[in-house]
Amino acid sequence: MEVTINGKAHTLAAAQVGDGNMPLLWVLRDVLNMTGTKFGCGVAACGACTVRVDGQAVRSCVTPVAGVAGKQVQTIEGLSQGADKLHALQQAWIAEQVPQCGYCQSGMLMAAAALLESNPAPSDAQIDAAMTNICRCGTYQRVRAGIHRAAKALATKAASAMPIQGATA
Amino acid sequence: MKRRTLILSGLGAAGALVVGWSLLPQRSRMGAGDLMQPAQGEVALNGWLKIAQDGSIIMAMPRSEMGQGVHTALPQLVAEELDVPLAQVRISQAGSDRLYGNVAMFVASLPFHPRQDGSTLVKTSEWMTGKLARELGVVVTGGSSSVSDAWGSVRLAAATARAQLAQAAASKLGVAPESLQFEGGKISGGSGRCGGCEGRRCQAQRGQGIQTDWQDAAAQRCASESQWHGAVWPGCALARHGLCCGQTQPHDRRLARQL
Repeated sequence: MEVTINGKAHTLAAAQVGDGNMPLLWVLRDVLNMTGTKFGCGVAACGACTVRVDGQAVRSCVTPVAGVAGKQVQTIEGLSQGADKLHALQQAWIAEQVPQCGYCQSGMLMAAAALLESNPAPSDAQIDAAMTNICRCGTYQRVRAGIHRAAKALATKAASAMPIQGATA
Repeated sequence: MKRRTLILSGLGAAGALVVGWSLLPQRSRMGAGDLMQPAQGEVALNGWLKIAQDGSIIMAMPRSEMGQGVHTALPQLVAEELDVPLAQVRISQAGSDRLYGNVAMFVASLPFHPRQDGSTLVKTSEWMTGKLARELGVVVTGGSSSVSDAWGSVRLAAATARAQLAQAAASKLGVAPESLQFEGGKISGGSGRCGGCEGRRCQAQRGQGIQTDWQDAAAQRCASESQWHGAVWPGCALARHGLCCGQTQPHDRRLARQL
């Protein structure tokens, strides 16, 4: 089976992923050792495991790996173009000091990236509706502030006719 | 002796001991300098603070950092009291002495409503709980209690250290301790000017007006942080230490030979 993660094709042996029912999260963390995506609840409730599949935010803990074959998967490891080229959201996350313990934040960032792509200037209500991720530390206010800041930064960048960095996988 | 007399006098004696113990002062949270295990050339001032040879202040840190910023907030208290830049305060893991136990968390866990504040029952319970918590010395981080617990103990330790230093400096310089200036980690004196102690700052040093004018003036203080000799007023929102970047989360750290 072949899956494309962060633009790179990975061939997975049946011995590793069985009949393709293995959840994508297990493939990412245990098979490919990409531990940026977190295991939270395991039942698609908390959003810690959020990755993007063809741009959409998806809970990877309940997504069978067979379901993403032939699609573009983006994880937190692929959100930036490198340590010195962070995604606007990541820069905003640092500026607003968003994370506390940080466990849910990779899922938060992936959900926020999907949101900003479909809605470049979301309102507070739209952010609350779209961000269904749960944060035990209660960083919701700063998550909002971070999304607003990133939205502004992306809009300024777009206005100055620069390509939007890292907005797509 | 009659059985009744034995029981009653026993109860009386036990009661007297409990009352007597309750009325005794609470266990001090200052601690002795040897708890800081000062190396050659270091000066330990109490159980919370020592001064290294390069002039940096090393504070005992008994609380865990979980992103909540306690490794920034507690040094802020020390920096403020000693009038040193925050960068000059370093932390070192505190030992297991009961001095470092968390008292505020136990006091805050009493089942009282804030509306009952000030009643004799609440005051008595808080006193007894505080006393017991000091005896138990449970070193624990939780319940949003780290800053409220350190607010008294760490600030008092730092303020006492400051007074010790002032006394030593005053006798060395041959001036009155009140005329000394604390600035950027240096103590100077003899100029005749009451430096660093004017207006609101002076009030705060004397412990006046901290509660009343703190909130409305907090924003102003944070904005003009430099006027506090480079120290940082507690309550100013600072960037937390160690938030950024590229660190593997502890639960994803895979050690060699780890199963």
